[in-house]
Amino acid sequence: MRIVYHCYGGSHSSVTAASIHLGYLPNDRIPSYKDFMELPLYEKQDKPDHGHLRLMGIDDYGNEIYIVGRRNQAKSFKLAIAGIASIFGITEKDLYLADTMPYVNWKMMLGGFLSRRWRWINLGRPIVIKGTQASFLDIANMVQSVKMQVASNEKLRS
Amino acid sequence: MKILYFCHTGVHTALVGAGIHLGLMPADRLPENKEIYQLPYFDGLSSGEVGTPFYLGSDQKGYEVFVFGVNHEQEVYSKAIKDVLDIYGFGPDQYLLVDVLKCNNRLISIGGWFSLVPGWNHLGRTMAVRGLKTAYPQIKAEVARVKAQLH
Repeated sequence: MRIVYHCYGGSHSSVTAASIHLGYLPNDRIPSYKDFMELPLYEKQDKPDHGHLRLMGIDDYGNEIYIVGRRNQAKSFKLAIAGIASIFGITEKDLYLADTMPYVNWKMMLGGFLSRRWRWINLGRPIVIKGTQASFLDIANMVQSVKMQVASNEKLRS
Repeated sequence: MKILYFCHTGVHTALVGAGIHLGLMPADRLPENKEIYQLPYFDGLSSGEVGTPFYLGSDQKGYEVFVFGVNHEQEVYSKAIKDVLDIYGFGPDQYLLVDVLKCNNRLISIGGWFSLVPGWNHLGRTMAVRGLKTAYPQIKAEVARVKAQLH
């Protein structure tokens, strides 16, 4: 199974979710600034990277975990990717798309925009990290739901 | 092989392109309005359904022809689709993504979006059809280029 966490830019919420999934972030405390900055791809991707799937790692069950920045229109992105995948016989038991945008707060949007779009990194980065810390537990809960859903899909398959 | 025509909505320019490819549209003249209206799926989408791919048919070589919409993010969707298919082992010899947005004009763009908005469908549809007829020679040329590439 391949799990793709997607968000606007592929730099913050999707990376955080994938990192929680893979155990790259602590699950017993809110990660620090340093914890986030040590993640592969956190605050790294820019416009030319949008659309490209990036492999973050493989989880304990052998599922490949990806992230992608897909800009706006999450619903039509999901319809297009899932729809075209199904044309090739790739079903939702093979490919799971998880939208992390519902867990993005205004600080993450503002900080992300300042840092990634305007390159005001010194100003934007601390804001986006503060925002990610505030949303961390919600994102962690979302990841837990994804894991349960994927496990349930695997059970149905076998 | 699968041919995937795309435009903003999937049910305007891409659909006419796919229709020309499959011989559902005239090759030697401009279509009449009703010929465009009669295309399966023409304008038959709500804004919340953009992205869904539709199968139009198979051409003379047995290639399956689909259409879908990408809103205004053609580069992002193209990259993501290629990456997903690549991950699952499907190469460029098994599919062709055809961007017909280069054939778009303002009438198609504006009319196409209005046609998805409840209450503005009729105006949007009329504008889109007018735009598609204006763009028809370019769309036909693009399909000819695609077919030449496939042979």
